[in-house]
Amino acid sequence: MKTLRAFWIRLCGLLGRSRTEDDFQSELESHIAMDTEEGMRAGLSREEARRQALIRLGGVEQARQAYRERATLPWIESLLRDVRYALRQLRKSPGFAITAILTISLGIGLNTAMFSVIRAVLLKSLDYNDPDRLVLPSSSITPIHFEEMRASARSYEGLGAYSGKEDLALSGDGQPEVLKGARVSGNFLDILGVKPLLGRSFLPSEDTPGGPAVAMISAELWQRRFNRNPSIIGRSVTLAGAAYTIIGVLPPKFHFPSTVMDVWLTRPSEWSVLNPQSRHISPILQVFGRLKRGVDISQANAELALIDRQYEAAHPGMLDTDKSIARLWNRPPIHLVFLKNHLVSDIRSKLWLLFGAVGLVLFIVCANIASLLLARATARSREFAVRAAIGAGRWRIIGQLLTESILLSFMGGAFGIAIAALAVKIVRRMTELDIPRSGEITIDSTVLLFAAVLSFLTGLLFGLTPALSASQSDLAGVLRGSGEGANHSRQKSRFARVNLRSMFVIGQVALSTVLLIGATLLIESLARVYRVDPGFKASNLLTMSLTPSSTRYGTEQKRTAFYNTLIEHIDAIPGVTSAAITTALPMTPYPMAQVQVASRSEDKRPLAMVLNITPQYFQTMKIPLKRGRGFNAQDDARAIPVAVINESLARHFWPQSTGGAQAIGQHILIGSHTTPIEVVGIVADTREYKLTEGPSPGVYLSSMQHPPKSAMLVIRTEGHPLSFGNTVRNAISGLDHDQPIAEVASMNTVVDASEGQLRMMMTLLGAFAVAATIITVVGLYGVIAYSVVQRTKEIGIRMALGAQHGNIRAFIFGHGLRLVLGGLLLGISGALALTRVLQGLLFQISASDPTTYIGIAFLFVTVSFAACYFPARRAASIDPMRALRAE
Amino acid sequence: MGEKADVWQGTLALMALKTLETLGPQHGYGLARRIEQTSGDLLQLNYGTLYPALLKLEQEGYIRSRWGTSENNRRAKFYELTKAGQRRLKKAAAEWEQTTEIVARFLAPAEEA
Repeated sequence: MKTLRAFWIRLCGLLGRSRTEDDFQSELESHIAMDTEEGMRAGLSREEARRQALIRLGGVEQARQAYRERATLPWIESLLRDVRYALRQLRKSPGFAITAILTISLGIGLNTAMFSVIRAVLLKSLDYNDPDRLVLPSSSITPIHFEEMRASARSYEGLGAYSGKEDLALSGDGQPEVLKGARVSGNFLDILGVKPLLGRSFLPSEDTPGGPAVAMISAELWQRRFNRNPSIIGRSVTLAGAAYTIIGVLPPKFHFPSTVMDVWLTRPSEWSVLNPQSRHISPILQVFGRLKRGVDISQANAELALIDRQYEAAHPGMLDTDKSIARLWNRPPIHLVFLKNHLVSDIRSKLWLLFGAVGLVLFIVCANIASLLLARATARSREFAVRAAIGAGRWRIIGQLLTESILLSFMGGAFGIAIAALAVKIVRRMTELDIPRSGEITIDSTVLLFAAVLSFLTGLLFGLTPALSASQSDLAGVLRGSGEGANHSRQKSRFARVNLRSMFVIGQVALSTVLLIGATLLIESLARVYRVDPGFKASNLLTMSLTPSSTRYGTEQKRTAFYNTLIEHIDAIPGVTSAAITTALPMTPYPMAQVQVASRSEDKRPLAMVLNITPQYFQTMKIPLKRGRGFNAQDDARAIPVAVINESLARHFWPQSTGGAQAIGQHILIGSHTTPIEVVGIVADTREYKLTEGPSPGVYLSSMQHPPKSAMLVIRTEGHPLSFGNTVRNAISGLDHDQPIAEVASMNTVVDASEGQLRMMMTLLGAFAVAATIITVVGLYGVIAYSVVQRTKEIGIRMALGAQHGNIRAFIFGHGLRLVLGGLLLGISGALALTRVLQGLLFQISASDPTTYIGIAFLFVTVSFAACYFPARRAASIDPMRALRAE
Repeated sequence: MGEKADVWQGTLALMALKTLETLGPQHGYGLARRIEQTSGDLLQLNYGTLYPALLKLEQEGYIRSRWGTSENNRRAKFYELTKAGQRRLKKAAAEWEQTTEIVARFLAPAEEA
């Protein structure tokens, strides 16, 4: 404590130094005067008394020096001197300084940006009260299961559930708007430990079937739509055509259950996307809870497994208890995960991987700068020798050089923070990547501290070897400047440095190779993903979602009429080839149901995708019809129910006949419906889930027989689809002024989004690899060019002894090639070991794909030949006479 | 031993604190003289070393200083003990007594032998 206080005063003393010294000067003067007077009283002359006073004091200058050392911090003063000296040195070679600072800023910037992402997404605890007790089961369960769990589980302080997102049209005053809604248990805020910003949370009575229609809204919606008007509480709004009373506003940035939510409703089991009949048997509820204090997650897991077994025994044959179906779903046994980990489960490994990649980039940067510094050390050997000669110790010189490199690193770090801030801004804007908690990514004090510590360590890392090497230089030899002995020792330390630099180059080549191979594997994967035929033509397709109001279009007839008129209106737009309605777009989640052949009684009923479409869907998507017919205007509610199935389903049920030809005219049953549906056609398979996943069985129903409650509109256009956005919007609002549309996008964008994370990984790793390679090749060029300068005399002798230009060029290329081959060897072994972490991301390519490895090796050799070209040409143009006469 | 002993590390601060406690507020010169006198002129005190020691004590908050006028009407900087300084002195004196006692016990038999 006292030491700290003293340290602080001394630190301040650095600033008010002259005042302190004046003060002490007066004190000394008064001391000497008093001592002199005393001496004179004892009978001495003034001069003698003063002389003795000074002797007793031990010298004015010495006293002042001792006092100054105590008043301030001498080591800081010496550090400041070093910093000023280092700044002068850097100013003297601005080319070197700028190159080094920019290279370092790239390394530190990338690492700082990655750290800020990882900190916000993976490390920071959630913004809920005591978030480490929040858990949720790994898979969703049925409402029956949830009720049983709520009745018997003892491990939780509170247990709640939420169901999937739903789109809710907000109509009434102002532009109609589609809101993202979530259905949550009434106690959700109690479980999370969050208080509403305004109003109150849900009451238990509002969470029971038939309770009042109430809603909570997000702070963002409150701001955007209601101007932060506090009288919003108690006001009635129209959501999806029904009146809801707003009871509360949630705090800003409240992202539960997922990122961007506008409205929260109660009664999660009344998820509107599913029919009321099938809700209670479908696993639609994601349960979450707060563990009781002192309850361990393993205890809670044991209890969860027990309740799960009891449920399975009590309800055999349900979608989630039937073993044959459960296997189809590939459902792992249920277990609890922490909420924090659940949110980031699929991005965690990718972020760590990218952090590793930027770490490699930083190592390459360090090796590169170290190599530059070694070259400078040779050029400055005379300066160090002079300093050593006038009494600077070895550690003093090392300290000076480390000050220089750390200063350089801090300057790079400052630019790096700017780079990181820019990168963070870009990452936050890439919402299609769907990085959870991306709103929390910021450059805050912790991130700045990270950047500072990283800059310091980086400076130390790249500065240490050059500093040690420079401080070893042979003083006498360098100062003597010439003569055989001097030259010999000078050459020796120079060669040691050249060897060190070669090692740095080999290291850089190795690390760049690892990055390049990793990035190439991802690029090839993505290219293969895009070569997959999705079964439809994604170009020139405009898509958007629309949810007809349930009051205005409450019955199936009204919805069918609305969809028909809508398609007519859109078809009439010039440039629109055809338009159709479907329940879900490819590459987005789709409804599924169990399907069986009506005439067979099978235990195994496969789950199939079920899409309700208007007749022009296949034509609009360009999905080829294989057999039978598609839908037409006659397949309406009065006609017999018909279905078109895809080839996968046809092959599954009728494997004997080619292409499932037998299917035509057969009848199938869907879900719990008992009406047999006649199969009238077979269409080609499409990739509905992801491009990388094979096609799954599917059934198409006529939307005129089963009009969907919310729909996706697909429109084939001539020309760029997005340019039709406004025309279509106007056509729809001309039909119904209160009808909102949302998610207007081209089909290509929808397909791209399904591979968003792979593309993100490819883009980022690719960028890192390219940056690393450029730095490495420049480093290689530097070493080779420098070695040519160093060996001018040797080359001159070789030429004098008859070496041809070609020999000299080969000699230089050989030098470069040796370094690159050494690095490639290390890098390829490294890549074989490291690219295994990419395995999960790769598509149709092995992590040790030989073509990739050979290609990268070839690429590196080619690029390094380019790097050696100019030094080699220069070496070949050396005039032997002049080279030998020099020095 | 006829020679004067040098002031060894750390004890000067204790002497200064003790002297300030006895004399009350005092300027540097008076303090130096008094320390010499108290030691019965056995100590060779280099007056110049007293000031950094006083500065250290002041930085640590054990003493404070202000400019005043000496008995001979001369402007001088006066040092005085703070509360923390009084506590520190009590503690340091106790420690010092203990140390000397221990050292004395080690030395006593050696001299007898």
